[in-house]
Amino acid sequence: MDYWWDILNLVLIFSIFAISLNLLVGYSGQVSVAHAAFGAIGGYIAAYLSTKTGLDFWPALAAGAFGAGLAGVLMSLPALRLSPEYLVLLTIAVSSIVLAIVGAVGELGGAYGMIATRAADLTPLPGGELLFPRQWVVPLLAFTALTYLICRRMGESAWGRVLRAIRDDEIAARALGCNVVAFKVVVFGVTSAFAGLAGVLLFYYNQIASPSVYGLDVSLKIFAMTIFGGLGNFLGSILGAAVLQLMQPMLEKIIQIDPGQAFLIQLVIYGLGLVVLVRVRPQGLLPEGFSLRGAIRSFKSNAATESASHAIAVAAMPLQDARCGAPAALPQQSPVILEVRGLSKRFGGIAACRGLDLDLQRGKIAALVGPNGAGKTTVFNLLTGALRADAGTIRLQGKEVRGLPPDVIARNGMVRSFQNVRLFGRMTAVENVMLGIRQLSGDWWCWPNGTRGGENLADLFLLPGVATRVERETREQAMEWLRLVGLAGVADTRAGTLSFGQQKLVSFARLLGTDADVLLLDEPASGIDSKWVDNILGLVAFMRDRGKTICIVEHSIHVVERLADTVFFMELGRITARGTIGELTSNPRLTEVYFGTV
Amino acid sequence: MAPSESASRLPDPVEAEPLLSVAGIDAGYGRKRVLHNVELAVGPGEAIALLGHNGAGKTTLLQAVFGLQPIWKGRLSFAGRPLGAHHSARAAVALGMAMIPAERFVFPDLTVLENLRLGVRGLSAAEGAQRIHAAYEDLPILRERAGQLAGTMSGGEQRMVSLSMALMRKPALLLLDEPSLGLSPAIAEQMMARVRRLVTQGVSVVLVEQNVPAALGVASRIYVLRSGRIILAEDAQAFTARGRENWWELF
Amino acid sequence: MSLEQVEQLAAAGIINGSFYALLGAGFGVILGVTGRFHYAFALTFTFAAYVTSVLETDGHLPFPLSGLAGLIAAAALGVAIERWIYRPLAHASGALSLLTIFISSLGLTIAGVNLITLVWTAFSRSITLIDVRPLHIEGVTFTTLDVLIVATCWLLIAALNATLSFTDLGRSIRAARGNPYLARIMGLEPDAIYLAVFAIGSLLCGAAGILDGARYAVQPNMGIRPVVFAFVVAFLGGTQSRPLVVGLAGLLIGLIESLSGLFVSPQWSSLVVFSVLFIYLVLRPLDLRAFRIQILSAMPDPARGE
Repeated sequence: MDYWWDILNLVLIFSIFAISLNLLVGYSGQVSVAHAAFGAIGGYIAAYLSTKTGLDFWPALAAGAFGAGLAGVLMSLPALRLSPEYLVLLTIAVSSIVLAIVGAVGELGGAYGMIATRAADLTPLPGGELLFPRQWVVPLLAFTALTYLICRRMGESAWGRVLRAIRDDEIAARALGCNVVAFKVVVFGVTSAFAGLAGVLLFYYNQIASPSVYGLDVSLKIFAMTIFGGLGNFLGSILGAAVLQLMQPMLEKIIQIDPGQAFLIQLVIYGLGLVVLVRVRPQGLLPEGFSLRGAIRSFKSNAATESASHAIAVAAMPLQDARCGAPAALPQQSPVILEVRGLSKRFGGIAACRGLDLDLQRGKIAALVGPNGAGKTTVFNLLTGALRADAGTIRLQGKEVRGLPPDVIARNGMVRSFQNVRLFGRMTAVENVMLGIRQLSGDWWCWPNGTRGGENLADLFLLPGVATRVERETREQAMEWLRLVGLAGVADTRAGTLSFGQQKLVSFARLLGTDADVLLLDEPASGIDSKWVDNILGLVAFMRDRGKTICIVEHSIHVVERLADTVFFMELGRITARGTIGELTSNPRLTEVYFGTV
Repeated sequence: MAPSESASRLPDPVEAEPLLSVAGIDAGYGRKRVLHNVELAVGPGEAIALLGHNGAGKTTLLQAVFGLQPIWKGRLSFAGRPLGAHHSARAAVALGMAMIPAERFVFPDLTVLENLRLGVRGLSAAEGAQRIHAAYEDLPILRERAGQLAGTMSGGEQRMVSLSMALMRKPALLLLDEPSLGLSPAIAEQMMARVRRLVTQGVSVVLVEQNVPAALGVASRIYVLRSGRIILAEDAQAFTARGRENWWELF
Repeated sequence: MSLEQVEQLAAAGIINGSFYALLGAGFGVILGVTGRFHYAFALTFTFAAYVTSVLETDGHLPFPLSGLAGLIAAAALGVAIERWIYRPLAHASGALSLLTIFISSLGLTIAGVNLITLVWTAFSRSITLIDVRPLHIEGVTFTTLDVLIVATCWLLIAALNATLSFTDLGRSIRAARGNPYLARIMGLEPDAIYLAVFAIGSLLCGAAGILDGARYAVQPNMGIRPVVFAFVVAFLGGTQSRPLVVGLAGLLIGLIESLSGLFVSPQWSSLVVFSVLFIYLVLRPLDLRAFRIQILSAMPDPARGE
């Protein structure tokens, strides 16, 4: 019987590893094969402290988890700038370095490791010394449950939604005002701390900490468990851990294969299983965010997509009628909301922008036109901080924003849309819009996004009432915006399955949700049928009428004519003319520049 | 290729069998439909230009014809043979088409000679050598720079190399995507002169161009695309006669 | 620290470095052209060694033939993996293919290595290539096998370099690597090129495996550490570089690893290598742009609307 308790205990410990890895890989999209190495950090810290200084169980556990978490934060810093392929390489390097260190340092027992001098002792909590596998079961259940609850709370909240946005499209997440850096650092720190916790438990359970316990192959095994169970599903991680740990015992006891063979056969099975699974059912045994309620809701809304196009025709009417006069600028507000002077950017030998000057009038629509290669999209990238300008000033509502990161600029009230939309394809339409909505607050603990509610960990764990309330309000607001664009019927459909026109509308709803004052729209009318173009144009005019300042980059003169109050003509990196489209198109020199000369 | 009629004669689409025929084409990327019901035809030895604003679908149309993009709806035929919705670029080349993309039109890590050699893959050694020799005759600079890495050449030189590469297989139809992009007017004119010479030699050309006057100097007929639809098809003279100031409303 | 010590370590560094060079060159050509994170490189490595060893001891096949069989087996395995595992998976996974191919590569390696253990047990085997005799030159000691290893590694790297530079296939491969879109436009077939690249890269990998088996021992886990070095050398040498350059990167790594023995005790040398990798990753994030563009513009497939 001890045999089965032992297996259960290992399943539980590995569940802790797998659940936390799921938060890192499944939710945040950061592929790491260093998870066991963080376990090593935790385990070795605990081993060292308990054997050399006689530290008790709980302090050693805390020290191990904290140390591993700190190491995770340190690893996250170079990881921030790495693309996925290089990130994997980094985690391989980290894993190898950690194991090389613990395997080489004499004080840490070298290749043989350190043997525990005392068993785990739960005092002051009940339970006493844990000497037999059966005694470990309840404490491990508690630890696993704690890991599950915490990770689940983080993953299935607004905080987790931001993680998933970062996973699906980091650039879009940043452009909406998410502090991607902070989220990544926190998720690395937290998941590494849990790995460290599991590593400490493994040390006390096995009564030894040695390099082979935490090797790269163990990291890969944990990775396999997470994949099996389904990325983005924490219950799945527990299931994955169970499946992998139980395979060998089942082969031994039920099919009566001898232990040596059973060990090998289980590895062959799970290796092949990975190959087959990733091909046939890449989402794992359980899909992301799987819940019965969600499945039913999504089924209902799929049936509603047909009626969505009717809804749009209907919704278009109120938009056009709602064209009330633009609210007059408040007396103390300057009419120029965005002032750009001398903006310059070079790429190697090519000057994409040279001394560009631009003024956006509050509550008006401006358009940037010009021949191919004039640098129009570069201007948007420079204004929103996606590209770092070499020189110049960008003043948004009087505040200098050149040099600030894109998410800060977004939170200061200037956002952009993308030519290829960049919705978070694996999330629903309403979740996409919710990601634009941010209840900004000045409170000191509203970090990292400066918001109240589920996007800040303090509220998430300490003031759950606030988090729930904010979540409800955010969802209501998001639905309002979706209703406005006529897509309330597809709110719970995955954004990736919507038509391109619908995706564009959702992305505008998302932008409106940010409540930003300045909206930079990159080719808002491209790639869609004419019936949709009217809706989009109506929507853009509506945004203007609500007081937003809009600047569009458009190649279709046709669209510019219908929308823009002012047009800026850009050639070779600078603005050389401004006026109405009529003025510009009747200018012979501009005509020559635009259409080319022989 | 037999020298055909001069470039200014317009083959009557009804009488002459078109070399390339595009009918009712819809195409796009992922969920984004870029082309709507596009129809055009190119006769043998004829040059046509595709005009329109950026993002109107001109490049997508070239890609659809060449087999780089699947066709969602519609029919495509070349030299009398229908092409499937998923025909490959390889098939297009074998049938006698060649394409030059708008950007990155040479292999930068390969020498000029290696770039040309890629064009004669599959031909016999003798035939290949002969064609390269002919390319050298046509453009002596190729011989001078045969050992130079294509990536180290200027933009205009690279364009010239790319045209020679495309001609290695003696295509019947040449698809050119913005050949004058990034070139100075003088070099662009050299490029266009070469294209005009090809047309007189009987090669059909589909030219995508932002520079309208340059396109009009080569093409006998033009099509204007806007937001994925053909909004105008007429001959070059009529289009020029409209007057520059009236081109804006077509874009 | 005597000169003799330095020379001895340098010699070891050259021998190890040549080995890493071969690994990096083989892995690099696969990674550079196809963008696949081919972790199963480790399996090809091990499989080649086993085929050679088994044919030699059980099949009584003399070295040149058994070695040849091992190389063919490696190439065949690599091609089979690309054709039946990676290609369909890449088509199905779209944007997620980096992850899914890595996962299936991992699964294949785990399954394959343990299958090998089931069939041939975990006891180490040996490979005999030539008569191993010691050589002393200017106070430095090495063996005839070491000479064979260094010669073979560089010969193969040079052959790869020559293939890429002077043959039609090599030109096609370099074209596909440098500008996949244009390669397609010129009528090159990505599927066929990927198969060729996997054959060539796996052949080099197999050679490395056989050499490693001859030098040390043939046992199931022999590929796990080398594949990590293959990754490191390929990235450091540059995925778009010519094989000789990648080879030099490998040589450098070997020398760093060995010569670090002058300053730290031997068990720390692998730490030195991985620290070099870590520092490289921290300091050069801009370089990966080229790799990213390469991956994103890797031959688009019309059947999937690319």
